[in-house]
Amino acid sequence: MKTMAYGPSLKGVMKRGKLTASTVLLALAAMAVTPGLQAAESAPAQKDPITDPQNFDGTWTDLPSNSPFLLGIDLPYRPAAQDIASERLEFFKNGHVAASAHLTCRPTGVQGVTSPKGPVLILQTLDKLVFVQEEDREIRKVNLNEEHPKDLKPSYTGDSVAHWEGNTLVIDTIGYNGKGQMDEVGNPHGKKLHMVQRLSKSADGNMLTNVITFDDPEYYKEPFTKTRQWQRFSGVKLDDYDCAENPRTDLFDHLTWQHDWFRPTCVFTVTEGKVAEKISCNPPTIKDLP
Amino acid sequence: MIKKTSFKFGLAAAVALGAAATACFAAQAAQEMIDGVWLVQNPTLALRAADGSAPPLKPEAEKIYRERQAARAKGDASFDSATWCASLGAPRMFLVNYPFEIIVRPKHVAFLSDWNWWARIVYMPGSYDKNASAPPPPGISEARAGGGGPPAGGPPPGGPPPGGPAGGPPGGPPGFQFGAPGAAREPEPGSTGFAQGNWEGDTLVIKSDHFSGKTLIDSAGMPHSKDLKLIERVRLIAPDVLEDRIRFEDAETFTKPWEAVVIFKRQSKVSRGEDVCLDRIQAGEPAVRESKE
Repeated sequence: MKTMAYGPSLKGVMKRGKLTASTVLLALAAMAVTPGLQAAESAPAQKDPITDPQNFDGTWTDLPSNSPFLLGIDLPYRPAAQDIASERLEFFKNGHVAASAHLTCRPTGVQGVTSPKGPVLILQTLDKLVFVQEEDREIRKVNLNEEHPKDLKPSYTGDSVAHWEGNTLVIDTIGYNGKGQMDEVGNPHGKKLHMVQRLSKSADGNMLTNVITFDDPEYYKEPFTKTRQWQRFSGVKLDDYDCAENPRTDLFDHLTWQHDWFRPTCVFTVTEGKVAEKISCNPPTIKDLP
Repeated sequence: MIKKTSFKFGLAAAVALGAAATACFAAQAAQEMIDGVWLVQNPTLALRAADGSAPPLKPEAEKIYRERQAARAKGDASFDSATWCASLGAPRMFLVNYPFEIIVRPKHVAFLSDWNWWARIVYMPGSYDKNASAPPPPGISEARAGGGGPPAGGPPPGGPPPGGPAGGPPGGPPGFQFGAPGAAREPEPGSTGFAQGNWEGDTLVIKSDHFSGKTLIDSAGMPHSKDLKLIERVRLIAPDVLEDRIRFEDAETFTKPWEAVVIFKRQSKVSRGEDVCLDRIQAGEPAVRESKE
């Protein structure tokens, strides 16, 4: 087990000819530089689940032309967000990486929505859609025809509800905890982010267009919109992505800690290349977000 | 005479078809009833065989199991990677005191645990193809989709960082490919294994292999090897009671195959929260809620 990487690794992704954002970040650092499903489930049997415009069931993957690194550098930043984005970009250009939700094995929230690095399995039922992602490992439940709960507990993934407008699924997400990330380099978002996605399927059923509008008055002067496209990837199995498996201290060396809340509690200490036999756990004192 | 025979045959066929249809609808209804949120009836620390006996561990595995139980009794669970939030794996993820949701779809059945947002996906007939590869995206040639650098026409949406190295991130170093679905991928060994299922009437039969061998069968520390195979028969035995009859096969660990029966009770609603184990242990909470046993 000690030889396994903690966090994102090359295995698996290289095998399928794909390099993850996190892997490249690590490598660079090392180089020192559903009524929807009503249609699907209760719909007449003759409806082809592939071409049925209101059935998103199946496995999908991000288009190669989508960048997993940056949602953009042209975002309408407020000064505080500009400072954070610039600082993280500097880290990145200098071969470091800001410790992020993804790189410390938490759910990423928005990044997982905008740039999944592996297959995404969508399971659609009468009352919800579930997005199961291999990497970043995420499970996102989108409740159909419901309202956000009033006593919403903030989370990395937020709370998602959806409805159909014609053949477009409109997903509304709020309730973020402010620790997630927009993208791999680290465009920030706050707790007040309101994300609206408009998902629609191509006529042949093989492409899923995801038009995402971000409204975060704390960090951005105005709402902005980005478009991502996923393609169908039938027949694939999602591998288990056990990010937290092997927390060796040397695997955290390249990270820059902007916040204590991502610091590891349990580590295998590595001294002069030798990995400790036993893990040591010391909960750090964390000053959390207000 | 011919007419009479035909009538009799037709009547018999109609009765048979009716019975078959009833059975079919009953099976389908039972399959749909598995949808929902479930919790193990008795959170299990140490799994026993269905007849109450101890699992038939080989001497070496028995020794490891006893040492781990003794260590845990002294407060040392450092043998258990779940204490630092690595995957519980199957079947342990369903034996602990955390609910899970089952979602039945034609090609996949998902078991979504509330613990640290882990999923175990069961691949139904026709859902897995080891040679699966996504079609190249529009505007991307076959050759490029199979390898090589970023798509032609400059960097991906978002553009490169200001002042960043030409050809560097976010497009990535030459030769790297982002987001390409790639070609065939064999199942990687993993904590939840590779689970393939099919319906036998109202029973979901799941055969799992490709385990990593790094997880524990139960929280007490029962070991297993990479050769572990699980054969499960999951069915409703009452509207709100689900039975999972699990057969364990692992010649490296057990002297013979054995079977356990685990009972789950239906829960009234889905958890809408998000359980992040690493945040919990950072707050000083246990990684896995203790079983009462």
